[in-house]
Amino acid sequence: MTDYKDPFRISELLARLAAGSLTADENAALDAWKRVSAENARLYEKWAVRSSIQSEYKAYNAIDTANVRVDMRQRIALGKKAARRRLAMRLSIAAAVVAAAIVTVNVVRFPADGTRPEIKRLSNDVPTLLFDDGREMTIDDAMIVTKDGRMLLSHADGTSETVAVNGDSVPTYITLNLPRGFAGYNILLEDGTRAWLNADSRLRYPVSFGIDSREVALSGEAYFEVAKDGTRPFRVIVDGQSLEVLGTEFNVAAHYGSSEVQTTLVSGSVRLTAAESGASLLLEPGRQATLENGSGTFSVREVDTSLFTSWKDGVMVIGDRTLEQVLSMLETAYDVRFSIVDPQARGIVFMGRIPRYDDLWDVLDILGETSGRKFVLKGGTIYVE
Amino acid sequence: MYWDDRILANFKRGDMDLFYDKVYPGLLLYAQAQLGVQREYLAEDCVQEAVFNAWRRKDSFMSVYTLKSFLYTVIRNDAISLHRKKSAHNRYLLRDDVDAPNDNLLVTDLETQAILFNAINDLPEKLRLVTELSFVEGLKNREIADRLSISLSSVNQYKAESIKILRGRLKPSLLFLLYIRIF
Repeated sequence: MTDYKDPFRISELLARLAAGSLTADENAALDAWKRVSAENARLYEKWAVRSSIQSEYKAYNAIDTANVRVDMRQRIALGKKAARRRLAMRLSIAAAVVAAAIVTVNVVRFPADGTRPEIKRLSNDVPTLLFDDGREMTIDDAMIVTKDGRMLLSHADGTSETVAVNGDSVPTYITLNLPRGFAGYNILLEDGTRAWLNADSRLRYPVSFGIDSREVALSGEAYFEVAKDGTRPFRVIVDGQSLEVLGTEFNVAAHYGSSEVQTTLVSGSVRLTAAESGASLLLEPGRQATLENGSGTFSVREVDTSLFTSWKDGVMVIGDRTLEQVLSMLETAYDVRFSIVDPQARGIVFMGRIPRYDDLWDVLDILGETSGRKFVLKGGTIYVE
Repeated sequence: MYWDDRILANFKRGDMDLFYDKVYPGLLLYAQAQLGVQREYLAEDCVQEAVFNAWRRKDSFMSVYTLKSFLYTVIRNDAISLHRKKSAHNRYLLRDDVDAPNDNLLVTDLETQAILFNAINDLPEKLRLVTELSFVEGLKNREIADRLSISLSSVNQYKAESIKILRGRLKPSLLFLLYIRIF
């Protein structure tokens, strides 16, 4: 039976055990393997009765493969190791014992690249966590783990610090502040709701939700996958509007300088209420509601939701956008400034998908090729010539 | 499994879609388990490095099993070296990082998950929904009928069809003859 030691062979047998299709021979072989150790027996039992596979099945199917596919395609195309490893980090904040929030981050960086000048970010702002008692914490490249009421920050330079999060200084609310140039933060809230935060956005959330409602406040743009909870409605308060849902997926965008709040519903249903006019609306999947803050009225249209939600997967899907609009999106995503020299270039219309490359030059190469324009970096501004 | 031989052929051509559909999730879960909660955030990078590594020596893989064995090994080694590097200046090492999981059993469990879950995901929509509720969540036929607003006899019929398809697809693979053991 020695050949059955192999994990690949055993796993095929365990899968057939779970599906109830083992032959007598296979059953005997698996039985022999099972008797080798207590651990083997435990694994056998697990698949025989299929205990705990419900959560595993969910976790398995929740794994996001969109970003990594794009990343690998890019590496293969370049034929070399990516010079920049994407820096992802995870932050978990626990209220006493329960893990309350996990943040995954893709930090976009622009290291010098041989032939091309480095495009520097305009600001030095970094992502921060703001606590209710006024403490502010940089989460640039720190790793944060909270256990037993202490939050441990391990910085990239090897130093560590400890912060108390329970006792008298319980941060009942935390604000995650994402400046321009940082996108793709992914927060797991205490109730299992997942929120992706876009660049130049802030999300205020409680360490743990109350017993009869769940409420967060947003400015900027976020995508929510709200965990179903029939007894506790989930509310998002955003710039002149409140949204209430029980379990659903949607994108909300309320950008600075814009008098509109756009809500795009992917699945489920969302009730929108305008703060000033009290106007209320039940949104259906595949539709987008726009609230005009001046008038307090909603308009609804049918949309391809992927155009408005793909940013969370690190891809810009562009449907009929002008160069000016695309560059404005890039300004927020990369924290840079563009200037269009030729007014005629403004109106060039784009359609397509652009991955959020670590190096902005990779994006500009694509835009340059398709538009026939050249991008030149001069004194911190990128000129379109 | 029924897609296994295509995975390697596509992989060698640079068409990674099937690989990312069927193999990547298991590798990510493996990397996360090896890295422990404190360094779980490095898992994606760790897997991507291993996959690119495999791509560069793609011609040396004779079967999808040698490819997977290679990937598991590279990920594990990377995780171990990450632990060493970080723990030197990190006093707050958590227990999760110290307890390395029993590697062979972990791989066995993750491979079983991949085989079953991929097979369920490949079922036609209606059958998949019923299978998720019956096989995965363990609901009774009555509950499934109520949940999906279909008749009890439809539930029975879908379940029977699903089981038939699953059993057909879970047949042991002949490719085992080619596999080379590196664990």
